[in-house]
Parts: sequence; C-alpha cells; structure tokens
Amino acid sequence: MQKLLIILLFTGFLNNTGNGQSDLYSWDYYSYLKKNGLSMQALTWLDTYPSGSDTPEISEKIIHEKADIFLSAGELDSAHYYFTRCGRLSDSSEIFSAVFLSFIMNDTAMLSRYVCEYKFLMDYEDIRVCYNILKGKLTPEDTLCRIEAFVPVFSDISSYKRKSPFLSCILSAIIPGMGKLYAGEWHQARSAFFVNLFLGAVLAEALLIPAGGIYIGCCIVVSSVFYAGNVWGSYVLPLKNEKDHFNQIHETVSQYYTSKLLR
Amino acid sequence: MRLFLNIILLSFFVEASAQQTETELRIALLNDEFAVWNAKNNQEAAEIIIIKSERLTSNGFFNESAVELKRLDTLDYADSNKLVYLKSLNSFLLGNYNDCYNGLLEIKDSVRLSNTEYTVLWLFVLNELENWEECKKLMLNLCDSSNILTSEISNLPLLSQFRSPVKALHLSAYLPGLGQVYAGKTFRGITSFILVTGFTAVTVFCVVNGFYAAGFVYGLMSAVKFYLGGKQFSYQLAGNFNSYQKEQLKDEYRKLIVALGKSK
Repeated sequence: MQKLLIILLFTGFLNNTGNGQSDLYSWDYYSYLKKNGLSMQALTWLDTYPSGSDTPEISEKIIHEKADIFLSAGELDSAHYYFTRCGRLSDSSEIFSAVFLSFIMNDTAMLSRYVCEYKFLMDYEDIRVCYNILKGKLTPEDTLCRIEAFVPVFSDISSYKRKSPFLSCILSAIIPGMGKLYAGEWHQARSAFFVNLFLGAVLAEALLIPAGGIYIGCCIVVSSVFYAGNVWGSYVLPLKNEKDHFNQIHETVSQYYTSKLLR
Repeated sequence: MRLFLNIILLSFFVEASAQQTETELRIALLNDEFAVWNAKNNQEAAEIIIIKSERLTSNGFFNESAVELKRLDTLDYADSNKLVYLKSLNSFLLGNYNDCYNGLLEIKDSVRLSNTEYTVLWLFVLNELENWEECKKLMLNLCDSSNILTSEISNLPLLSQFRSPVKALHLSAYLPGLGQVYAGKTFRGITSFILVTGFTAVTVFCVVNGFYAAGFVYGLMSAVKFYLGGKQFSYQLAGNFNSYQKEQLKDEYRKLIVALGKSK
C-alpha cells in the first residue's frame, strides 16, 4: 500500500484527485491557479472575489496579488498600475520591483515618491542613476557607475558630445547642410546641400537669362522655402538627437531591468 | 483574410451560440478550472480541460487553447485522435498550416477520412498549402454520383494565374507603364507612362529654351525618379497580382469544401 501511495504521488495522480473543496473563493484554489501558471483564471478569481466579505487587509492583498500576477505574466504596464495603487509595499523585493517598473514606464513622479518614502533607495548607485536619467540630468559622477549592465551605456555617454543648436543653425545659414554635418547627420547634410545647390542654380539661371517675372518669383519662393527649412532643421536636429540619446539610454537600462524582473 | 478564414472555419466547426461575452467567458473558465481541481481522476480532469480548450477556441483564444491542450500530454487522454485534431485545429487557426498538416498525418487515413470534421480540416489545410491536386482528388472521391457539387468540383482549376515579377520589371524598363499593365493595373500603367514622358518633355523643352539647370532639376531628375519607381512598382504589382489570384482560387476551394462538408 505504501509503495502504491509513493508511486501515485510521484506521478502526480494525487494532486489531481478531488481536493474535496467546495468553495470557489478559497485561497487554496487561488494558490493552485497561481502555482500552475493559470494567470487568466487567477486574475478572474481576484476580480470576482466577493466584495461583501473583504476587509481592508484583503483588498490590499488582492491589489498586491494582481500586481504580482501581471508582473509574472510580463504585462509591465498593468503591473505598474497596480503597484501605484498599493498602500504600502510589503518587502524589499516588492519595493525594488515597483521602482524598476516606474523607471521602465518613465514615471518620474512615482519614482520620486518611492525615493522619498524609502530613503535607503538612494544608497543604491543604480537607482540614483536611474532617477537622474529620468530627470534628463546625468552628472559626471553618474557616468562612473560601475554596474555591469550600465557600463556599455555609459561608455557611449562619455563619447557623446552635446551640440549647440545655435551654432548648427548659423553654419547651415552660411553653407546649407553644414550645420547638419556638425550635428552628425551625414546623409541629411548631403541631401540639404545638393537640394539647395540645385535650386540655387535654377534661381541663378532664371535671373541671368533672364526669365519671366512669374517664373523668377516661383524660383525665389521654392529656393527660400528649402533654404529656410534647411536652417530650421539644423536648429532642431541637435535638440532631437539629445532627446533620442536619453531615450536610448532609458531603453537600454529598461531592457536590463525588464530581464531582471522577468527572470 | 485570416479573420475571414477564421470566421468561416469557426462557423463550420462551432455553433454560433458557443461564443460568449468576455466576462461570461472568464467566469466559465474559472469554473472549468475549479472542476479540474476537484476532478476525481486524470480522465475526468482531461475531459474538462478538453471542454475548456473548445470554449477558448470558439471564442478566438487559439494560443490559450493550445496551452490547455498541452496540459493533456501528462494526463493520458484516451481519445488521442480527438486530441490531435484539436491541436491541429488550433494550429490551423493560428496560421501554422505545416504544423496542422503534420499533426493530422498522425491520424490514420481511414480514421481521418471517415470523420467529417477531420476530413474538412484536412481539405482546408491542403488548400492553404496550395496542394490543389490532392485536395481536388479527395473532394471528388468524397462526392458520390448524385452529389450536385461534383461538376463544380471537377471544374476547379489546379493552378492560379501567374505573372512573372521579373518580366514586369523588364517590360517597364523598355517602356514605362508596360510592366504595370502586364501586372493587371492598366490605369497605373498609363499614369506612369504619362508622368515619365511628360517630365521628359519638360526636360527637352527647358534645354531647347536654354534653361539647362531647370531642365535638369525639374525635368530630368523627376523623369528618372518616376522611371525607376515605376520599374520597382511593376515588380511589386506583379507579386500582388499573384497573391491575389492564389487567394481567389483558395476562396473557390473553401466555398466548395464547406458546402461538401455540410452535405455530409
């Protein structure tokens, strides 16, 4: 008999025999759903938990459970939403999960709130750096961060040089495309240069031949539009590149934290 | 097209009343799993998981249904043919036609051809894999002499119309717009021809009148752009034509498969 019981346990048969539970809303059933990875059903269980029978502690527990299920299912935005609704985070792993999610979701307000509420967080180098990344203000001290996943990101930063939009604008006004070359966009610089060159040649030809007034007027308008566009584009380009640069840093670091959360 | 195909298939395999609202579905699934948890033995648990899987399939959750069916691998479900069929149906509905084909091959021919649902799914997958010869042959075998569909099935073509994309590209290289016409888009071909010749005429006019820079910028550059674009476009249009013709043929086969299945 003992041997038979051992065999049945090993094959998992006993796990599937009737548990004799008649209550759909017992926490044992919920634990079974969670343990077997049945996220959809576990969430339905939490959503339909009888509202008349819950205490504030149970309501809080339900929110924590939902956050946990969404996190394990990889739905980070929903997990973040439920973490923001939690009153008090219970342990350090929950706190770190909530902080990483705030960073990934670009939620500066929540990250600030966690940093104020849990003072020990700023002792962690990576969290301090993340806070500054979201604010868009990295200090030289931040770039010395030696966390392994951050090293490739910060080696890019140290080689990144901020470009002045005004200088870029003036350079493009003197030679079309020069400002874009200064901002590091070779293809855009080449296009801007040749377009303005050809339109300038057409305008010069119209003035030299000379052509009719309407034709000269059209050439002046077209050339002016492209020239003005080139100057404006050169002003906007360094600002856009800087924003993209920070977004790239944010994305790289977010991927690191995402893989950490989903491990 | 995938959504349309799913609707045809689901309407054939599943009763219309099987679809539920999202809330009803979620609660039904919760209750199903509760029944699995309370099941007396593996066989009972397996039966309920099958019901759960069918419920998910009928409501369009094919991935989730496939995950449920995978659970049966450890539960020794008695009717292995039904299990294979359900897995194959989900693969088909997810667009994995090769998986569906390979799955149905696990069912013996005699069993596969004696069960209407298995046979219809088999015909559908042969159609999607463009194996029209075998599909047509099987459809004719299934028709008895009195079946009114026999003549329609006999008249089904075995190949769709085809236009070579490379030939379309070359035709547009010789004469702008000709490739588009060959690919079945006459209006686009004429438009392409007018644009290229028009800009070429602008170039000639400007050069003749001494406006060399204007002729180059407004005329020649535009003509070259439209000429090269037209060539590329005709290649793409020929590819689209072939895809469209295949879909038309598949559609003809689908209608007859459904009609044949219903007549059985």
